[in-house]
Parts: sequence; structure tokens; C-alpha cells
Amino acid sequence: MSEIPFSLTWLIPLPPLLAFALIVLFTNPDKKLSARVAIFGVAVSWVLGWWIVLSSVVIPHFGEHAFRLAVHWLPAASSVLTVGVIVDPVTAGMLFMVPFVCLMIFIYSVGYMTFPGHLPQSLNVDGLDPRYSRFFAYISLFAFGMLGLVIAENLLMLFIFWEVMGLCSYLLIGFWFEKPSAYKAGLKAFITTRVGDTIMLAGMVLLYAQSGSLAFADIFSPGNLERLATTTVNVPLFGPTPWATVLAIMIFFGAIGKSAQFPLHVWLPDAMEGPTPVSALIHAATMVSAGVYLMIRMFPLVQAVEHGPALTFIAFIGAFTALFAASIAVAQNDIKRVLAYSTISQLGYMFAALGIGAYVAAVFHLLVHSFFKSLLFLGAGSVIHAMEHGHHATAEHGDAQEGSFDPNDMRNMGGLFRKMPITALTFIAGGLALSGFPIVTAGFWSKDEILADAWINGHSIVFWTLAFAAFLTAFYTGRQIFLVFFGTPRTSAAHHVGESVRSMTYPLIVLAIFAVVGGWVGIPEGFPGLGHILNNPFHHFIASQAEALGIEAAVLPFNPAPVSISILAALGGLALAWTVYGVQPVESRDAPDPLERPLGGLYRVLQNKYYIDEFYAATVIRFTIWLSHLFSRVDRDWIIDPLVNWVGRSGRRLATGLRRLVDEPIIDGLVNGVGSATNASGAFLRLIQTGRVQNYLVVMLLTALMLLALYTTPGS
Amino acid sequence: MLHSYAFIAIFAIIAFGFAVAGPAFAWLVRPKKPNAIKNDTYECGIKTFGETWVQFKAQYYLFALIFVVFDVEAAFLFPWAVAYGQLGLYALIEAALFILILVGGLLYAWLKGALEWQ
Amino acid sequence: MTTAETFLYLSPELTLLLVAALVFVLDLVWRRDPDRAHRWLPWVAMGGLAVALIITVALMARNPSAHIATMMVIDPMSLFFVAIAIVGAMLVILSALDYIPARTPYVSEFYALVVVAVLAIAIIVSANDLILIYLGMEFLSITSYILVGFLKRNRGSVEGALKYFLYGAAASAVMLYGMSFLYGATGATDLEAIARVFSGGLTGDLALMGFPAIALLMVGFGFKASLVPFHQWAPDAYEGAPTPVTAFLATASKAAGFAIIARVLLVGLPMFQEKEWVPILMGLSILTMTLGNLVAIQQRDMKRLLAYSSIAQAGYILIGLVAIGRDVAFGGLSGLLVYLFAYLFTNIGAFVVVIAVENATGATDLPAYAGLIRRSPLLASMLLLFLLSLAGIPPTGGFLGKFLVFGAAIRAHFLTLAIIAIINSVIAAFYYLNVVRYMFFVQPPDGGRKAIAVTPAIRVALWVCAAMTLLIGVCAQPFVTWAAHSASLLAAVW
Repeated sequence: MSEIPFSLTWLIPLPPLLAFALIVLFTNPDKKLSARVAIFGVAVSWVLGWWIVLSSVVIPHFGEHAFRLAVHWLPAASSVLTVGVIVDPVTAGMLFMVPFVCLMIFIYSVGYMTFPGHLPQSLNVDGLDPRYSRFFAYISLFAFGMLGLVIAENLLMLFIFWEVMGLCSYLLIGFWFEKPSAYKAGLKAFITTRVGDTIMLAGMVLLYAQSGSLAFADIFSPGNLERLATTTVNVPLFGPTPWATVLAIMIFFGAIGKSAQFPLHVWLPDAMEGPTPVSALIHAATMVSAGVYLMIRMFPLVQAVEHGPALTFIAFIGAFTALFAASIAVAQNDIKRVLAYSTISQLGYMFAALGIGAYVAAVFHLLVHSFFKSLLFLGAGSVIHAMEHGHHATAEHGDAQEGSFDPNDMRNMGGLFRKMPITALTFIAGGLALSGFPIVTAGFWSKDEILADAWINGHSIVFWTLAFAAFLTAFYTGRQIFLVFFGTPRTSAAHHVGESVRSMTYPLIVLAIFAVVGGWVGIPEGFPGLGHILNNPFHHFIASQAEALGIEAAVLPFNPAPVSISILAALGGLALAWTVYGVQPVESRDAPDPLERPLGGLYRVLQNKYYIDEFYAATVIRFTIWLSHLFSRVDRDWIIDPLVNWVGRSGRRLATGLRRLVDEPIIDGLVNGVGSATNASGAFLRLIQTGRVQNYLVVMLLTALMLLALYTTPGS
Repeated sequence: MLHSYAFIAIFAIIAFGFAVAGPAFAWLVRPKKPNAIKNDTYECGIKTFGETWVQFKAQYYLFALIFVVFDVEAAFLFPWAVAYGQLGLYALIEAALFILILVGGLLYAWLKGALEWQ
Repeated sequence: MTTAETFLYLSPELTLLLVAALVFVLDLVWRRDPDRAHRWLPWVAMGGLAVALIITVALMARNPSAHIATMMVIDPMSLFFVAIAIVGAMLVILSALDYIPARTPYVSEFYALVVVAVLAIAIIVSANDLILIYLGMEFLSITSYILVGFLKRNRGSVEGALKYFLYGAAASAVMLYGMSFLYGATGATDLEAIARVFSGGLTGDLALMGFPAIALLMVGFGFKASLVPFHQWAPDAYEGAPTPVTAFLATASKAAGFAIIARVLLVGLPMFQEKEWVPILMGLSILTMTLGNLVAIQQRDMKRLLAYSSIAQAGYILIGLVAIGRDVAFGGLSGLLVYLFAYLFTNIGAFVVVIAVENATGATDLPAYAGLIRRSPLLASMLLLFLLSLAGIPPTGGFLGKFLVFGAAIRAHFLTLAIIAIINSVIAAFYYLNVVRYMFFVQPPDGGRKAIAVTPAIRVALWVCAAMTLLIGVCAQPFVTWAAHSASLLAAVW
């Protein structure tokens, strides 16, 4: 195999990092230039990335000779920590998606990051966000983190990049920190994901202790996996458990945090406070799917114990989250929150797929979902942007409605199809992909593969949960499309919207194309009529890796039952949405949601997201606060505070003492000497002579004498 | 071992004794008729003025340092000259090099203006 | 060894000597045209240093172990330190290009003296004989005194030099006394001969000689490496000296101190390791890092802060000698070398930022750094990098050094020492981050609208330092290998 593009893999994350440095150091006063630098950086990564993807797809059975390049970094006591890159089919798939989606979103941001509505207009100088350059610096740093993560050769590197992304996510969610909600959301995201990361880090440390290396190649060597699967550890309550299970579940907690799975999902909807390109990039397409990517990478460890509890646990969390989040999305009115819950739900699909062993289907859905979900977010951003402008336009005309205006609220929209046709068409394309509209859209093929896998392998609970979730998905997507784009405008702001600028619409069009055709590479071979046109190249590509790792990834026989159920769920959901929201559009923004009456109390529960946030506030957070009060009581009144005070005092006394002993004679002497000097050189000489040098010499000689005295003391 | 150090001790005592003996003997035998003028500090026969703790011009030190060059030269060349008969051409060249280095230093100081009285 | 070989192995030193002489002579030749001298002489010095560096690296490739008349040993380790000194001097000259002419009319001598100081270091680090060690130390000291007092119209500079001189004179006297112990006990000044006599059996008087000799020698060596309690000259001299000289003293000159400690103890006195020098060095190390860090917290002047910080760093470096270990790749000695190498770029880089700020504002106190990120993002981010490296945060070279040195201590079962060192690193992070706080979060008094101009030479020096600081941390393996190789011969002797 040709080495050339693969040996350049390590270069991929660097251009965005360089762009970050350039923007921070040099170009930040020039906003436009900074944006160009960032786009250029990620474009270079994109070209390199696709070069590698193209070089790898033409290699037959690429998975069996994946490329690995590792150099020694640090000698640790008994082994050597390495840094390096790995290119195998899964990495290639990510390299196809990540830099491309990044590039689209970077371009989109050029038009999107105009002056935000929550700041006083008096600060508006050039119509752009005051921190425009900083935004591009942050997203460049983020792109560096994500690209580094997908090519990382070992778990330690992966974790470092993982944390870089976490930092960027925190910074970008709170990007408009003038809004307290944004600042708080950033903090919430950071802390919630940290819960998962801590458990994951502990898992990593244990893994290192057990296998002596964190390189994927070493962890997944058959001997090591065999050992991890057979040696057990005594877990309280569960009894002896194989190490592989314990470690897989601990690492899975990192993924739960990062990919916002139940019960750590609460941060993602709040993260929508960030600028919309950030939601699209970080909280839909890339960072949140890094959790899935991690579990795909660690899959050999997960299934080291066959049909073990790790798989069941992952499948349970995934399937539950898929249904749970989809049901919440049904009753949300914020256009971005609907999408946020949808993201949580779709990530749940991927975990469920992994949990039932559908390795290829998980990868497929991960990639396809990134395209259509980033498209949906960008479309939503375009709508929000237009609504803000419409609001400003009406405010200037003086016929603005009273009260605060929320450009994200779907109840304020309606009938936008004719005002912004490109946004509407692309959004609908993405929405159909999300709901799994049969045959045409990418989402259908990827979702169908998961469902087929569940059906054929007899995971009936998972199958029916996911199928019902698919129905809900189609329903809330249809609801969103009808509420936003059809009917009549419900506010004057919605009357005054216009199509977004080209730097925003072009990425939408490109992504829309991918949201449709992207799925065709994965049409099952057995599918009547269509299956043999392309022969499912995606499956063969990824399966070659699965086989190399000893994972079951056979081509499944075609079964009409799951396909029909899946088509039924998608079309049924959309049809139901049409009957509820399409036939009789909601007329005014204050009218109750048509679902409110039939669902009754359940609607309120859904709208309040099952009261999970309130539950956490009442339990975990209250307990933490109580605990911190307790500790502060302990601290202040009993032991620690006096101790700390004592240590602090003696530390300060020591430092002051040293300073007095050693330094003040000189400094003060100098200052006083200079101050009182009339005859410059005379004072200076006198200063030296009254001087403190002899003090130094005395100290020096005393030390030497002390050492000698120590020596002559008996017993030493 | 001890007696070899004893030589040094005896040498030190004698050296010290020489230094002390002269003034001490003078002090013993001189006539003692002090007056105000005699008790005054001797300063080239001129009447003294001001404090004795005055600053000396740095130039004096510069001259003294340059003098050290010749001092070292003499200290080195004296034994060399004594043993010259046994050393031959090699030593002559070495000494010439040595003097050249010192001359170089002097030349440098000269050209830098260190010998000008400012 | 033939004369030709002798000349070959001495060629770095000879080159340095010739370059220094050339700079002095050209200064005289162009004495009527000072502008020309000022313009060209730094580049003559730089060029000469570059040639010396190339020769040194080429010699390194020969992997020599050459004795020059029992006086000097040219081996990978001595060449390692020569390279450190040359690189340090080049960075110092770069950073001084604007600093020195702005402050004194005597410019050419500065470059010549820096080259002379490198020559002195080159002699010290390869010296294998007590006499040459003493001469080299005096040579370096006298050169350093002049360099510290180079701004002779500046009170601080002259005062620093005088204190440095008085302290240095006393320290070398004590050191000489220690050397006389060794000579008296063994009748030899050659380190290997001394070792031979001692290894004949530590009986009677001989066994008693070790401790006092080492203790007295450490006064002189500790003075060069600024170990507590022989450090007191350092804050004054560092603060008063022209900042480029401070950078030189804190890195290259300090490295020479460690080189000589390592060579004398490992080659000359290996049999006194367990009972004599390990306890002494351990005590000095703990004292040095603790006092350095505690006093650094109180500093409000950047130069003084860095002075105390570099005292504390010397404490960490010394751990490498305590935990010398027989494992070459992961031993204390190679850790020490990596630490010094990374520290060279990090610390010079930090001082270069100080120079740039001083050039622009004339101030070195912490408030002068308030809001630096706005006045000069380059300087602020560079200083951030260097401070992170000094604090030992990955992926910088400073991290690698600490990692190796502390790791060696843990492996050699000096757990207490390692724990004290780690606690100290945490304390140190506090005052380093305090500077960061000033740079990024404190409003400058004048609103910070006045940007700081950075000259091309300083820019180059900064980028080199930053690149190396990062390179050592990111791509650690070659440096570790190089250091292990440089340490291997000395470790083998031992």
C-alpha cells in the first residue's frame, strides 16, 4: 500500500491549530482576515483528510492492513508512552465527515456571526460580532481537537483531545457570556461532562494498570483481551466481574457524558445557548458523536465478554435514551431544543446499535446523522437569524409586539417557506432524512440497518423501543416543519424575514445533497431492486476492520418485516404530524398546542422534560450543597480551618521571616541608601561597605562550618 | 610530616618579625619630642585639608592594573631567565608568546585610551 | 594522542578563543567608526559561535572520550554542555542587540566578553583536574563580574557586580581549601588519580577526608549553580545585571556549575556517594527549592521573581544528581541533562520577554506586565508558554525535565525528596500563574492602548526559544536518547 498520504495523517489536525495561533497572535484585530485564516486552515485539513479517505477506500480489505504510525514520546518506568496516528476504516469514515462538516460550518459562520441581538446596539461598529475573531479562533481550536481525536493512536492521546474539545465546548457555549443563561449553560456542560470524564479517566488508569499500555493495538491484542475477559475483579454488589466488563462500562461513562445520554443528558439542551454554528458543529455533528466514536473504538473491549453485561448496559442506555429524548422533543417549542433532544435520541440509536452488536450500522448512522443534523441546525440557525432581522425590521417600523421576543420560539414563526425557500427546502430535506423518509433519504438507510439488525438478531425489546422512537422522531420532525415553514406567519417579525446570505445558504445546499445521497453507499445488498446497484460498499469497507478486530459483521439477509415497520413508523409519524399541524395550522402564537388537549398531563410532563432538571436540583445538587455546607462547617469550626490557618500563618511567617532575614536588608538598604544619598558614589560605596555582602559571606561560611560540625558530631 | 610544616611556621614568624622589627627598633631609639606640626599627617610637605577618607580617582586603579601586567611578566620571566640555559629554543618561543600576549593586552588598553589621564 | 588530535578535540575552545580575540581586534580596528563596529561585531560573534557550535556537534558525532594531558576530558557530556553554553550565548546576543547599545556606549566588549564566558564554560565542563577546575571557575567568574557590572553608570549593575565579586572571591577561596584537602589526602589533582587513590581502600585518614572536602567544594560549586544557602549573591546580581547577562547567568553559567558538580563527584569521588555527597546534595536540593519558591512568592519585580525561580529550579535539577541511578535511559543524570537543556530555552525565553518589555517601558516590576496580552499578544503568549514550561505543565520541555528527574527520584527510592519536589512545583505554579494573571486579567493603568514594539532580533530569539520549548516536550524521545547517550560515558566511568 502506498505510504504517502497515510504518513501525512499526523498533519491533519495541525492547520486548524496553526490558524488558532495565528488568529490569537496576529490577525485578531482584522475580523474578516481571521475568518479567512480559520477557513483556510480547516480547508487544508479537509483536502488532506479526503485524500487519505480516497486512498484508503481503493485498498481492498483496508481494515486488515490499517496504517499505524507511533513514535516514542516518554519513557515511563517499564514501558514507553507513544504518540501516533492510526488510519483504519472507522478513522477514514470520520475523516470523510469531520473536516468536511467543519468546513461547511466555518463558511456558514462567516455570515451567521453578525452583531448579536442581546447586546446594546451602541456597541455595533461593523455589523459583526464584537468577538468575531475569537469565535473563529475557538472553533479552529475545536477542529484541532476533533481531528486529533479521530486519528489518535492511543487512549491517552484520545483523552487529551477529548478534553481540548470539552474546553472549547465550554468556551463556545458561554460565548455570549453577557447572557447569564449562556454562562451558566457553559458551566453546566463542563461540570456534567466532567462527571463522566472522571469515571472514564479512572477506567483508563485501571486499563493501563491491567494491560500495561494504552495503545489501541496493544489493548486489542487477542491475548490481552482474553486476559481481561477471563480475570475477574470483585465489584461490590455484583460479585466477581471480568475486568473487560468493568473497564468497558467505566469508559462508557465518559461517552455517556460527552454524548449526552441518560442520565447525563441535561447539559445538551442548555448548550443551545451557544451560537448556532457551535450547536451544529459541536453539539450535533462532531463532539457529541465523539462519545459514540470512542465506544466504536473500544468495541473489541466491550464485546470481549460475549453477550456480557457491558453490551446489555450500553444497549439499554441507548435504547432508553432514544425513546426518552424523542418523547421530550415532541413537546418543545424552541426550534433548537427540539433538535437538541433529537440529537440525544439519535445518539441513543447509535449506542443501542453498538449494544446489540451492530457495529457497521452504528458507524453508518453516526456519519449519516452528522450530515443531516448539522444541516438541520444550520437551517434552524438561518431561520433564527432571519427572525432576529425580521424583529429588528419591525422594531424600526414601530409595530413591534409588546413583551420580550424569542427568535427561537417556533410559535413566533409560521409560513416561512415562501420567505426563505432555500432554507426551507434544505431544512425539509434534512428533516426527512432525520425521520427516515423511505428510499430517498440517507437517514432511512442508516436507521433501517439498525432496526434490521435488531430484528434479525432477536433483540425484540430494543427493536420495538427504537421503532416507536422512530415514529416519534418522524412526528416531531413533521411538527417542526409544519410549525416553522407552513401555515401563516404568526408574528410581524415572521412577516419581515428574508432569505439568508449566500455564505449561509450554500453550505445548506451542499449538506442537503449529502443528507440525501450519503446513505446510498450503505443500501443493503439484499434490498429488492436497489441493493445491487452499488453493492453496499460502506458495509464491506467497515466490515473489513470489524473482521480484523474479530467482531461479527456479516452481511445480513434481507428481511421485509423490519423494513416495512420502519417505513410505517416514518410515514405514520409524518402523516400524524400533518393531520395535527398541517391540515389546520396553528393560527396565533398564543394559541395552545394542538397536542395539549389530547395528551393532558403527559404533555406538561414532556414539556418539562420529565422534570429531570428539577429532580437533580432537588436531589444531587441539594445534597451537594448540603454536603458542602457540612464540610464548610467542619472546615470553619472544627478541624481543617484552624489547621489551614495554622499552616498558612506559619507559611507566611516563614516566607516573611526569610524575606526579612534575607531580602529586606538588601532591598531596604538599597532604597534607604539611595533615598538619602547626596553624594552619589559616596553613598553607593558606603552602602556596599555598611553592606550586606558580609552578611552573605557569614551565611556562606557558617553553612560550611555547620556542615563540618555535622560531620564531626558523633554518630553521623 | 609535622616538621615540614614547622619550616613554614618558622618562615612565617621570621617574615613577620622582619616587618615588625624595623619600626619597633626605630620607635625604641628615636627621640620623642612631639609638637602640633610633627603630629600632623604628612602630605608631601603641604598642609593637609579635608577628611582622610576621600575617594581616589579610578584612573589610579587603572594604572595599577596595567602595572600588574608587567608585574606578572617579571614574576614569570625571572625564573625563566635563571633556568634559561637548560631550556633552549622551545622555552624562548614560549616566553616570546607570553610576552606577546601581554603586549597585546597593553596595546589594547593603550588604544582604548586607558593610558590617557582624564 | 597526537598533536593534531589534541587540536581537533580542542577546536571548539580554540574557535571561541579566536572569535573573542577577533571581536576585540575588530573593535580596535574600527574604533574610529563605532557605528560600523556596533553593526557588525554582534554578527561576527554570532558567526563565530555558530562555527563553534557546528564543530561541537560534529565532534559529538565522533562520540569521543579523549583525555588531553589529564587536564581535560572531551566526552559527549562535556560537549553537551559546550553546546548548551554556545546556544545560550547566541540567544543572549540576539536579545541584547537593542538592549546594550541603548544603555551604554561600550558595546563591542559585551559581545567579546560573552564569547569569553562561553570559552570559560567550555573549559570548566571538560576540566578533569582540580587546578584547571579552579582556573576555569575563576575565569568564568571574573568574566561574569565584568558582565554583571557592564552598565557602569548604573548603580544597580555596579552594586550587583561588586556583591557578586566579593561573594565569588570568598566562595572560591573556600572551594580552594576543599581542593587542598583532596590534594593533601591523595597527592593528586587529577580527578581520576584521586579516584584511584581513594578506591584503594577507604581506611583511616582517607575515609575522614571525604565529607569535609565535599562540603567545602560544594561552597564553590553551589555558588556557581546558585544553590541555597550559597545563592545570596544571585538575586542582587540578577536584578542589577543587564537582563541579557541575567539570562546567561541563570542558564549557561548555572549549567556549568552542575556539570562540574557531576564530574567531580562522579569521576573523582564516587566512593563517597552513599554517606557523603548524597545527603549533602539532598539537603541542598530541599533547601534550594523550598526557599527559592517561598521567597519568589513575595517578589513584585519580574527579574527578581525569575531570579528566585531559577534558584528553585536549581533545586529540582539537583535531584537528578541525588537520584543518579544506574539506569542510563531513565536515570537522574540524563534527566538532569534534559532538564538543563529544556530550561535553557525556557528561561532565556522568559528573560527575552522581560528584555522586550524593559526596552519598551523601562520597567521590570509586575504591574508593567498588566494587560500585556492587549499590548503585545506575542509577548504575552510567549511568556505564558515559558511560564507553563517553568511550572512543568505538559506538553512543554519543562514538563519533560521534571518528569524525568522526579521519576528518577521515585525509582531510586527517594520518595520523600520527590514528594517535597512535587509540593514545591505546586507552590511554584502559584507565582507563575500570578504573572499570567497580571498579563491576562489585570487592567493596565493607562488602558493598555500603547502597543509594545518587538524588534526582529527579539522575535527570532523568542520563536527559537518557544519552538524548542515545545519541541522538547512534544517530541521527547530524541532528546531523551541524546541526553542518555551524553550521560552514558560518565555513568559508565562511575
